[in-house]
This record gives sequence, structure tokens and C-alpha cells, in this order.
Amino acid sequence: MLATFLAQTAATTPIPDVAWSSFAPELPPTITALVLLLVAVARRRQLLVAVPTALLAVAAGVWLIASGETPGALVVPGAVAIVLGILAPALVVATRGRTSLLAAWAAAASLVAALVLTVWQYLTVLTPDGPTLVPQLAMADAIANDGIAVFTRLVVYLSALLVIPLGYGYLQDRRINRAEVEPLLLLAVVGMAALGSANDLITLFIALELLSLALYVLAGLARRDRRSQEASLKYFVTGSVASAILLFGMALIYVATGTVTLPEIGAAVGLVTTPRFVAAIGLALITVGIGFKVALAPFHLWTPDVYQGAPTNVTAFMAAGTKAAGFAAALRLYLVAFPDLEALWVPVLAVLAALTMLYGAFLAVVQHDVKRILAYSAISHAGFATIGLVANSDAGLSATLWYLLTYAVSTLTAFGCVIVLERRRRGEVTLADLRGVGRSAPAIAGILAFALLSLAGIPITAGYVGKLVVFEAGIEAGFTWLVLVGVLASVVAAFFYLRIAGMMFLEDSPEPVEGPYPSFGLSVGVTVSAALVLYLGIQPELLLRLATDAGVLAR
Amino acid sequence: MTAHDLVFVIVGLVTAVSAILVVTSRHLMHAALYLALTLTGIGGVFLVLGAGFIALVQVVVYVGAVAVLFLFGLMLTRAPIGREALDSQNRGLGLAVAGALFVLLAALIIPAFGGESTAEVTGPTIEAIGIAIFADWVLPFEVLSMLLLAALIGAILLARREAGESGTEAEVTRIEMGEALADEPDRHEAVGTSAPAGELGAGGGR
Amino acid sequence: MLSEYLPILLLFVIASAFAVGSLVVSSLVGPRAPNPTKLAAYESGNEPLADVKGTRFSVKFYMVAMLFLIFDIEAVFLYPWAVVLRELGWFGLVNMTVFVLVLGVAFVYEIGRGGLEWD
Repeated sequence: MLATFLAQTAATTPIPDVAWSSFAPELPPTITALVLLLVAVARRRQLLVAVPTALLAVAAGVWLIASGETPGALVVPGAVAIVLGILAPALVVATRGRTSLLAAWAAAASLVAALVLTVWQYLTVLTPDGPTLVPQLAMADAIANDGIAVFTRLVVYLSALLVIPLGYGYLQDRRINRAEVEPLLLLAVVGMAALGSANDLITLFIALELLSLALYVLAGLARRDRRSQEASLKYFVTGSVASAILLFGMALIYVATGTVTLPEIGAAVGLVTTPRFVAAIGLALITVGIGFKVALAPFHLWTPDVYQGAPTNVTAFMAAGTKAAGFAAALRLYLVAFPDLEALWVPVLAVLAALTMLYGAFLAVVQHDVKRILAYSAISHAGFATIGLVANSDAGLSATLWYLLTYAVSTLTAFGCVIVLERRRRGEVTLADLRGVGRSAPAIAGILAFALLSLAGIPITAGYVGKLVVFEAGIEAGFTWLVLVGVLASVVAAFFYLRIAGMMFLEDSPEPVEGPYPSFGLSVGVTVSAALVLYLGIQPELLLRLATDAGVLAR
Repeated sequence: MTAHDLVFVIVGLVTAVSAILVVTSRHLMHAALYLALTLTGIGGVFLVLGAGFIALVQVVVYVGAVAVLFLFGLMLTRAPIGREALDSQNRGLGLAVAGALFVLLAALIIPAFGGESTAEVTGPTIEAIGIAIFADWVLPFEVLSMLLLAALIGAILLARREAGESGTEAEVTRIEMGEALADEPDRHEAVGTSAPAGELGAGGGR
Repeated sequence: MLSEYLPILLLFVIASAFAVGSLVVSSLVGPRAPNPTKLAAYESGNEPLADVKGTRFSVKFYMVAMLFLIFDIEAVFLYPWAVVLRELGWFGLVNMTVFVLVLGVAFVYEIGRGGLEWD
């Protein structure tokens, strides 16, 4: 009866074509998040959840491999599904009921799967013939799979993958290793990836809210720590206000143009029938909202407190992931929807970028808490990333994407070292606590110094290549003054980064300190991210070319 | 003036007056109830404008859930229930901000419609909304379910007390060494139906 | 087009007229001979032991209200879905199934974490 009822579909209804490949990378983290939530409440009956999941995943994988239009077209996604399916009960057995270990491994596996699918999507779907990327719109133009989307996926999935080993032992030490951490992290990552490919205002807003909501909760994870609670509340209140302002701006844009799809807005904004004043106010409100989310001065005021108060691994993830996703959304918004209003937003953003770079750099100098210093450094780096956006060109677009990748790996390394030092100090780390670390723990001090050099932009590090590319794009677009401000900010920033390094290596510790206790996960996470910083600094060609290719927008 | 206009004026007046009463009422509980009335009135405005579904959402979600949430929030915090000095001495400033916002909105929205008076009100039908949600914006719709899931996790994670947790807050971040932890029973196991769940904060109950 | 809602308005008017009317009529017509016993709390009601003002509700009410809000939003989407299900056919059914399944996981999680237990 149901079937006959459903079969009566009117032929006129526009049912969109569900292009699975367009959001395939998001599926493993999403499903894993759901399964992990079930596992978390299953207690001793974890296999009861894992086995059906495994059967379903394997069946889906077999079906995918068998159903491809041309034989073998869907082998990769099918294989990923089968591997994940087999992993589910295997992990349950291997971890022997230790849910947090199981959750960490499962989340990491799903993120690896997401990365594999992103690469598969890039290689087969988006570059069908030859190396040029063919942007695709899917799901009734709700999402655009172009360079920004692919690159953002890479950055956020990689960041989350690195954050899991960094945070595992740390959360245990602080007794906040709740079973919800990994599902929330995965939901936030899905939100970030969706934000990178959102092609209309509705998708963009919902993706932004998803990642924000998950991060509000993660920031307040340490419920008995007043700082963490303060961070969560501040982030929530300011973030909600920013969301409301952003939504209001979107509503005005809809009023002015009558559409929510970004390319259509871009087409409508230039028309004479569009009330420019309304569109301009909408654009201004959107700028404020986005500015809040990526922490551009003067909308950055929440950043230091939130970054300091949140658990350090969450801070690392916020710095690396949110920034990448937020800038991806900003790039798409400004370059696709508002090219005709560039006379308005380019100068404003240029001023904001200059302000942000200088403010972050100068205020970082007077801080004492290491996490707070890194928070101000995050503010400053948001300004650098904005230079590429202000350049308003394909080169600038690639430059910003590339900069965000280099910043993500550098900041993850730095925060990873902070976690190691926090373990050692059994509490938060101030600048004075760093004295003598270079002697008692040379490895960690060396890696931290290296990460700081990368954040400062010294050659042979990723940060250097990042700054170089961004400055180049800025000068090409005629923003020499902005680049000069950037160089000035870099010099100021280099001062305090080097001061930290000097503290560690040149000064003696007043009291004897024990050696550091990096756990297995921490060692792996810090080593891998530091290696990435070095790799991107010496051999940037491969990913830099990807970033350059990524300068193709779905308009 | 048609009957339609008359209804609009009545509903609008009720909404506006109750909105003013929300901010001028000296009794916090009354203010919250006036807020519920304002939200209902906005639902009425939507109805008059022909947006029946939005009116329904307004009543079901805002009046039915959000306003109730407000009332609970008032009743479980130390908020003064009753006639007490609530005036923050910022009336002038508040009035100025509200007035400026009103002028800005009016200046934005009226020209956006080109000054034309829309005689015929045709809101979207519920079918059009359904097609928009379930055909055009399927993907955001599905992401929305994850958004609600994250909200629910947050509500439970932040508001429920775990077994063995003390009610005190730590002023400094303490990190204990993790080596001994491997042998400890998994923390996730401690949570669940058998756990005595206290409530957050002091007070509560009778 | 507002005439569609006329029956609802009528219902409101009749309901409030009945409520107000009964009170007015009973106060006008009914005999009044108050004494302390008659004014005491009715049937099994107790005299309040303390002033209600100032006591606070348990935070559990708030939890329940928040959880209700979340599932309320879910329910709101069912209305337009029900209207267009015939047009969308299988596609619409699968859509809503996925949506409800995700929130079903939320529900199972909520029960498993004891979100619906009072003590």
C-alpha cells in the first residue's frame, strides 16, 4: 500500500539528482559519529552495535563496487566502506571495552577514509580528463565541488586527524575524556567540510552553525574548570550574536537579490534593478559575522579568552580547522557572490587585515600565558590570510588556501608541544615556566622552537612559503602598503616567537623540573605535524600546485 | 480599509503593545509572559501576511518551547521573581539604540520593495515550502539533523552531572599524570542509568 | 484568504466567551455565604507550608525543556513533509527516514545517558 502511494509521484516535481560523489568524503565521519554515540551508550554490548554496522557497511561497499556504471568506477569508495566495516568489530574486540580508545581509533579511521575519498573525488570526479579541475555543482546547486572545497576538506580532515592523537592522553590526564568528544569532533569536521563547499546561503549558515555548536560544547568540556566554562560561555554568546548578525545580513541580501544561491547573487548584485544600498548593508553585516568567526580585529575580542580556556587540543583544532573553513566560506562569498561590490569590500577588508595583523602581533608581546600568546598569534595570522582575499584574484585565492594549510600544520605542532609541556607542569604553562626547557627536554623545546619559527615565517619552514605566496599575491594586486604592514607585523611577531625560543634555550630554570612525559599519541602527533611543517617548507611543490589548481571557482 | 487591513492593524497593535510591556514591566515573570504574547502576536502577523506555515512554526517552536524555556530559566535561577528594581538606568540609551535600529530597518526594507504597495498578499503555500525543503535543500536539511544532534549532545554533556563528580569548580587547570590511568576503569562506563545523577549547581528542588 | 482561519477564530471567541461567561454568571447568580471552612483548600489540597515566592525549580525542568525544544523542531518539519510526500514519492520518504534516523540516534543516546530519568 505504501509502495503504491509512493509510486504516484507527480512527474512535474523537480527531484534533484543525488550526486553521492559530491559529499562522499563527509559520509564516513558522519556515520562514525552516529555509531560512536550508540557505542557510548551501549556499555558492555558494544558488539551489538558494531556487528550490524559492519554488515551494513560491507554490504554497501560490495554494492558500490558492483553497481558502478563502468566496471571499477566505484572501487575506491566501495573498498573504503568494506575496510571501515571490517574495522568496526575488530576495533571493539581489540580495545576490549575501553570506549575512549575505541572512539579515538574509529574516529581516526573515519578521517583517513575521508581523506582517501577526498583524493579519490579529486582524481576521478573533479579532474576527469587531464590535470585541470572541472568545478561541479551538485544537489540543486547547494554545494560546489571546486578547488576551495577540495583544499578545505584536505586541511580540516588532516587537522582533525592530527588532533585526535594529540588530545587523547591529554583529555585522560584532565579526566575529561568523555565518550562524546570524538563524535562532536567529527560533527564539527563535517560542518567545516560542508562550509568549504556550501554554495548557497542556507547551506553555508547551517554548516557554520553545526561546526560552531560542536565547538561551543567542546570548549566547555572541562566542566569543573572555571576557565573552560568561561571560554564556552563567551564563545557561545559572542558566536550566537555573530550568527544572528550574519543571518540578518543574509536576509538583506535575499531581500535585495531575491535568491540565496551564491552565483545567482553574484549575477543579481550587478543589475540596476537591485537596490545597492540594501545589498551593501547586507554585505556589511555578513562581513561582521564572518569577521567574528575567523577572528578579524576588531571582532576578535572573544579569541584570547576562548583559546586560553578551552582544552588545549580543542584550541588547536579551533585554530587550525575553524580558520580554514571560515576563510573558505569567506573566499566563496566575496569572490562568487560579491564581485560587483568589490569597491566596497576590498578597502574595508584591507584595513581590517592591516589592523588584525598589527593588533595580534603587538598584543602577543605583552602576554605571559603561552596559550594566550598563540591565541594572539592566531589573530595575527587571520590578518595575513586576509591579504590573499583582499587581492581578489585567482592567485590570491590560492595564496589564502595555501596559507591556511601552512598555518594549520604550524599551529598544530605548536599546540602539541604546549600539551606536552602542560603535562610536564601539570597545569597551564606561562612564559616563565619555559626557562630551561631546552636543557631538560631538548627534543620538545626544539620542535616548539621550530613551530614558532614557522609561525614567524622563517625560511625552510612551511610558514615562510605561506607568507611568501600571500605577499606575492598582495603585491601583484597592488596592495604594497598592506604587504609592508604585514612585513612589519611579521618582524614584531618574530620578536616574541624568538623570545620564547630564547627563554627555552638560553635561560636556566630556577627549580629542577622533571623530564617531559609525551605519551605515545602525543609523540606521534607532534612528530607527524612537525614533519609536515618541514616538508611543506622544503618541498612545497606538490601541494602548492594543488593550491594553485584550486584557484578555480565554481561560479 | 478592508477587513484584512483591520485584522492586520489589530494583530500588529497587540504585538507592539505587548512588546513594549516586555521591557517596561517591572515584574520579571510578567515580562516573560508578555514575551510569549509578543511571540504569539508575531505568529498572527505571519498569518495575516499569508505565511500560514511560518505562523505555525512560530507558535509551536517559539511560544510552545522557547517561551517556556524562558519561564523555566527564570524559575530555576536566582532571578528575582516579583516586583523588584530591575531598571538598569539605561532607558535613554536603550531607546536610542532601538530607535536607530528601527529607522535603519525601515530605511532598508521600504526601498527594497521599490515603494510599491503590495495589495495582494500571497505568502508561500505549504507545498512550496515542502518542495523547497525536501527537493531543493535536501542537503542542508540533512545537515540540520546533525545540528540538532550536536545541540542535544551539548545539552546532556553540559547539564548532567556525572557519577562521582563533585559540585565544586576548580580555579586552576589541574593536569594529573596519565601513567597510572591505563589501569583505571574507563570513565565512560561510570556514566549511565545506574549513576546517581545530581543536578547542576546548588539549590533546585524543594 | 484569511477566511480559511475564520473557524479557528470562532473557536477562540466561543472558548473565551464560555470561560468568561461561566465565571461571570456564577458570580452573579450563585449564593454567597462564605465561612472559613468553605474557603479552606478544596478536597485533598493542603495549605502551603511556606511562601512560594523565592523558591526555585529544579534544573531538571530546564533539561527537559531543552530536549523538548530539539524534538519540537524535528516535529515541525513533519508538517510540510506530510503535505508533499505524495509529490516526492520514495525520494521524500528516504529523506525523512535519514533525518529521523539521525535524531533517533540522538534519542537513543539521550536515553542511554539517562537524560529522561528524573533521579
